[in-house]
Amino acid sequence: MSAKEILKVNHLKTYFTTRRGLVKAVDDVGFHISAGEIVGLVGESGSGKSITCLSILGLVPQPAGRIVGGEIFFQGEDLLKKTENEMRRIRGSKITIILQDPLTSLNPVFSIGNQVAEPFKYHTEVRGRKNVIERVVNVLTCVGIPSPKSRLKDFPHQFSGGMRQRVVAGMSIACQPQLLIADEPTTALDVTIQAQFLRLIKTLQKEQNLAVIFISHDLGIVAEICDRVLVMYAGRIIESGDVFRIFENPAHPYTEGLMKSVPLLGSKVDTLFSINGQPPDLRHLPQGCRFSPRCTKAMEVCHREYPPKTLLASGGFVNCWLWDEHYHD
Amino acid sequence: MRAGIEEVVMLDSGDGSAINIPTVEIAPSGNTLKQTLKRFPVVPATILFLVLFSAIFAPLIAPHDPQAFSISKKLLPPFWQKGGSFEYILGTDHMGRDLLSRLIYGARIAVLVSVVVIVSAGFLGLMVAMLAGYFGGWVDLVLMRIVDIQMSIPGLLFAVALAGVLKPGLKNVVIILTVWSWAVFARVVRGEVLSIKERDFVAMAKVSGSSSLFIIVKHLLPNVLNTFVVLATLQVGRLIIFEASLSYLGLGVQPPTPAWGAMLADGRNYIVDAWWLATVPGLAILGTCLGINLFGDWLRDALDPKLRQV
Amino acid sequence: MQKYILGRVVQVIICIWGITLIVFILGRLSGDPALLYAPPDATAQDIKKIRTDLGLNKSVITQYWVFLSKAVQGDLGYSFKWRESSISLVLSRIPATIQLASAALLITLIIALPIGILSAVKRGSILDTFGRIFALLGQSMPTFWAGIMLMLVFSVTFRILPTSGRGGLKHLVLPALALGWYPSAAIMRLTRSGMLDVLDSEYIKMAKAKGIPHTVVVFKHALKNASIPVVTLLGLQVAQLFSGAVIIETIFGWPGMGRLVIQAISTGDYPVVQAGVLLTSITLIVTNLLVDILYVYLDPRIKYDQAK
Repeated sequence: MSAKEILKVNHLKTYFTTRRGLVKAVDDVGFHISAGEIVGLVGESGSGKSITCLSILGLVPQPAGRIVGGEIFFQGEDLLKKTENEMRRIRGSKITIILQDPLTSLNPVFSIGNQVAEPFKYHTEVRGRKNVIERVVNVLTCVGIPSPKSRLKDFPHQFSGGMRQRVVAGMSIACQPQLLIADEPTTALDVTIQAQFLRLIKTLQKEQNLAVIFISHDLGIVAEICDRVLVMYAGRIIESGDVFRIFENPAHPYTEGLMKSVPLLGSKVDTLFSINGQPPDLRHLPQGCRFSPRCTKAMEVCHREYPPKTLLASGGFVNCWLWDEHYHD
Repeated sequence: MRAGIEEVVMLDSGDGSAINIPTVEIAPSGNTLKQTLKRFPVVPATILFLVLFSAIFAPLIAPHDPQAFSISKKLLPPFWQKGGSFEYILGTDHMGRDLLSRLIYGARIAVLVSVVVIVSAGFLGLMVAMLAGYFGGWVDLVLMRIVDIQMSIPGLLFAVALAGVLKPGLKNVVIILTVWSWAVFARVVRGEVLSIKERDFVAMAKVSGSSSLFIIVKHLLPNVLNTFVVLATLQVGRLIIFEASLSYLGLGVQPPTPAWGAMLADGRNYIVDAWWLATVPGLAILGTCLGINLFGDWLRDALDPKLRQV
Repeated sequence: MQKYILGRVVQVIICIWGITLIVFILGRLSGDPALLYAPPDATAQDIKKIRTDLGLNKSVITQYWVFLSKAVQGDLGYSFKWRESSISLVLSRIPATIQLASAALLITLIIALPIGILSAVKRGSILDTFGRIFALLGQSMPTFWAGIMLMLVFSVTFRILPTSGRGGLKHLVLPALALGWYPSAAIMRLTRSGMLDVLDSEYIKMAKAKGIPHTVVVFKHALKNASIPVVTLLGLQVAQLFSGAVIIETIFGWPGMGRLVIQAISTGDYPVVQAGVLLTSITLIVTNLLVDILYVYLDPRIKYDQAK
């Protein structure tokens, strides 16, 4: 693990036992993140993006879900081997998360001052009302809440959506974490507010050398803010690479399909492109490549065997037989 | 706001149903008809069936005349105790009357009263709820004030006061219970109506010129029926207990007609000598209510459209 | 916020007025007061005089007005049997009922809340199963039967507690337990389902993600949200307690207001019944009003909903 690498995930598997069968939500996922980089995690609903992140935090809903294999190295230590108490100390201080809907992420019956103070209360040595308030106001100013001191006693529903999400962001950076997980943080916001929020994330990244996993299904946002992109499909990562490369030269047919689905401003099309077919049932996955049933370029081997990882010259990798040395022309 | 809370009380989410550990579902799925039938609560249904059967066929299955008394045979214990016999399986009361037969005939009262009251109170409550909910305005205001006022008087106290006016007897018990229970139906169903009438399909009906009556009957009614049925099953349990309470206080069905509550009142007096007199009728009431509550829980799950898969 | 409270107070006044109307109508329907007031050897002449004295020859509206104005001044008629003002009679018995109801409420809270919370937190465990059975039994059992059974076990079989009367703690235990049985079940169920709902919510997920200790998550974050409907249910349960008190007091010979009303009914002493119903209802309405106000303080969202 290189010196700047702060997170390395190896062969992570998280399965869910449901009434209708075993769901392999995350099925052998591996990636790494270095300090200060924003990595986008894209994919359709059900591809495993959120569960991957919950697995990192150790918050997979139980008893149905369990992490059945793999390693998650955070700053050199395997999180999966830690006790609950140790994990608790990491959550909210070293690894934090921003969820999608800011209204439901905040407890409606407590003031935001109370809630933003909590990371300080439980993860730092800061004591004394005045000190805590000072820190809270500091954090709120940092994330761009106007006149924070007067709003400490206000409740979440008294804030607009964008402000609420800023409050949540404030809670997440309060203890200066190394890794921030943002799970579709702008989906519930208006477009103009989205832009402001993204600027905030970028600023925080620069100022605090924060590493960010940015989950989104909105490719436009990913293009704007991410340095690197991981593409997930049916519980596995099928492609990774630099953001520019992924958008200009997608390697995997699925990624290609995703790019094609986003219409370009100014282009005229009669019909919007969409990838044929449906995402697979995670309880009954195909034997070979999981995308093969929908892939226009599928070969015979694609249906038979799962493609190995092929490292790409431009950095990153792809899991596709089209790029495998035996089949690449 | 209060109507909403009442709903929470009355329709509080399914627990108390058959002990069943749910699992987290990732893919959206629900109950198919087959699964619902598989979870059919056999034991509660059996209990209810027994009660109904007893009520209907009492003269055929009761071993003795429930009102035939014999001083020589008084306070005989149940068959498994010393002094008991199979002639009087569950023993006799202080007038020598067979307990089992009285229990069976008592089921008649319980079932009769419950069914009649639920139907009349339900109908009344339903109508008021539809009118109040749909038309709103001062109709709603006035009707709901009446409901509020009535529900401000503690149930049994109100019933007792009414009983003081109407002399005891089966007919008046039915009247009293109906007056007591219609209010709950009105309030809860009205809440449902309020939320449904804002939905698009109602707006469409209005725009296309349907008359109010048509909308109420054809559109609103089927949609509140769900809630109504669930509420009705919940109420039946409470009604049985309520009727028993009235009988216990001597304000219900009068002797010599056997009623479970009245039997308990007798039992209280002989509790030292004849524990079975106080225990057995109570078990009957408990069993019936349990059956109804469990059955009602299953019914609610079965009828919940959110849980069903197309 | 002030507007909301004002609105509720108006509602309360209308309710109380409505109840006086009901009580008055019931009173009139219960029989000819003149006959009841008259001593046994009264002649037709005497009865006619009594009727005039009582104002029974005036119109119904006038009679109601008289009734209302007297009631406001605290005069609700005269008990035939005990030869006392019915209001003072009822008021003298109310403390006993309140004592019983409070004890029952206390028992309810002590039993139901912890079981409800634990049941939700340890969902699916044996504790949960036990809790749900308890709730189911509690709501299926008639209150008075619970009382009789308790009496059977503790007074008759084991002889450790008395069967009737009011005295020290020993006399209070059984009736309070019996009375609190049904509310416990209801509160437990609601606490459990409320906690389950809340524990599933996003903000609890977020609280865990912030690394807040589990006990704090449950008792600070979850409980405050889950308690909102429970508080309202507690208010509704007060009605249940008064209702149940009528029977429990009869079973255990507890000298409260419920027992008084039952005795009054059997002797046709209707003014006492009227006073009992009126006072109890007023207590209930005021309690619910207080609960509603408390509710507003618990849930900050309400203040602003009302303002819209």
